[in-house]
Amino acid sequence: MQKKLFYYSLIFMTMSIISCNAQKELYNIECISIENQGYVKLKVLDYKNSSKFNVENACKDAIKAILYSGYSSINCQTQKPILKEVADIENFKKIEKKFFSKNGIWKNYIRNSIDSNNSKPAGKKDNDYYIMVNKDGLKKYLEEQKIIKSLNTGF
Amino acid sequence: MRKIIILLMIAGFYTYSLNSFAQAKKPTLMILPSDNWCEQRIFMTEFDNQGTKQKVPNYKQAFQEDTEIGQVISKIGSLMIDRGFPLKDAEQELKGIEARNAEDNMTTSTTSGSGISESPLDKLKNKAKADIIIQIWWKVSKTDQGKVVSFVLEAFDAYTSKRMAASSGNGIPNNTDIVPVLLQNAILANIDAFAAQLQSHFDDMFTNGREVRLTIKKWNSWDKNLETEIAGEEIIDHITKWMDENTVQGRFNKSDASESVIRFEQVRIPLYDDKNKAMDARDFGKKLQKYLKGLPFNFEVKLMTRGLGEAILVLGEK
Repeated sequence: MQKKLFYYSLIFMTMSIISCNAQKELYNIECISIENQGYVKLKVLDYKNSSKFNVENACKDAIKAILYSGYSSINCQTQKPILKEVADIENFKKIEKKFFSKNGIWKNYIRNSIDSNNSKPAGKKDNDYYIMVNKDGLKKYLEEQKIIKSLNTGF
Repeated sequence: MRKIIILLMIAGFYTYSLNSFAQAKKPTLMILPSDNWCEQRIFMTEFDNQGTKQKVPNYKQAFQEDTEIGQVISKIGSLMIDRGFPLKDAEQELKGIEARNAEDNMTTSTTSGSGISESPLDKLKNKAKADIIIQIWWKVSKTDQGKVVSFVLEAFDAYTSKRMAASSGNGIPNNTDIVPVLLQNAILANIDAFAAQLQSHFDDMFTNGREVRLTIKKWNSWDKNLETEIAGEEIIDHITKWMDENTVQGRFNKSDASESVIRFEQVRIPLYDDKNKAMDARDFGKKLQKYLKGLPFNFEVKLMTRGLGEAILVLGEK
């Protein structure tokens, strides 16, 4: 009986860890436009409508969408993620924590302050943010860090 | 013992540095408008090819007269520079050829007054060329909801004629932006998918070797043909065996084999030779030329090339 209980609790713990990890990567993105100089304008929607969701979370979600899932809309067509291969994702995972840390490099690839939609008056219900990500800059950084290959690798 | 270790370390470092710094020859890229685009905008020249009327794109006229092509090429060019692939500019290339022709025609030797020698083949080959041709096509249509830009971007290997990458799409109807802005948006939306396909092509090249064409021909004046037996086997079989041994995993397609011509397509050659030097179709052809010049053949062989990707060997004389 004790053995069974042990196995059940082990399965429960594993499931909880998996669901926690999966929850971490949930984000809701809409591509507004592809801009000049390698920027992409994304609308980040708070899928949980939680009060803790702020512009910093929105910026990180926008970058994660560009890195892991890609995005599509009528304006932007289908844009694949930067990290396409399993090896790319594994490489990035090694620096992910540092990259997304409080003073991490992710801040270099974000431009959001100029968008008036991001100033949320107190009591306003919607938690959607408009974030500009320097996709080309981000890609170049990952190429320099040898996380992904550049088009001219080997030439 | 210590000396041996140091020597081994030096040898190891030398091998490592040779491997790590070896780089394949970078293909050249050039953007041209597609034939259909030239036809639609009447940038075509008609000429008589032995009784048959043929139309070819007049790129010079297109570059001089069209107001959109310059912007489109410039935008794609800047995006490709960002990705480490500066493009050959077709317009400048055409101007350069004209200038060089004019200079060659005016150049004479001061001692004998002789002009510069140029074979008919050299003259024919003297045109704008690149290893990868990027073709663009677009059309602006008017709908009830506004202007819509349809866009196609394709890359072709100039020597194998294979499509390496393609990206196409339609913009959303728009009544506010001007056509150059709509075109720019279409390029920005398409370029990443396009570059990703180019990347896959290059990855495949690094794994399975560079794809080239090889053609073996014979001069009319040669007293042998490709079915002549040497050391108990036909010349065709000797060459096929050599190809088996010298291509990556013996990968090639013998699309044509007769007494006067052998055509090998989809020939996968190694990117580097035995000395770790980057190899192209000419270097590969040179190896076969050397083999056919040696025993038991002793043939005279002329080697010709078309860019990085095609070698032609003509047996019998130079």
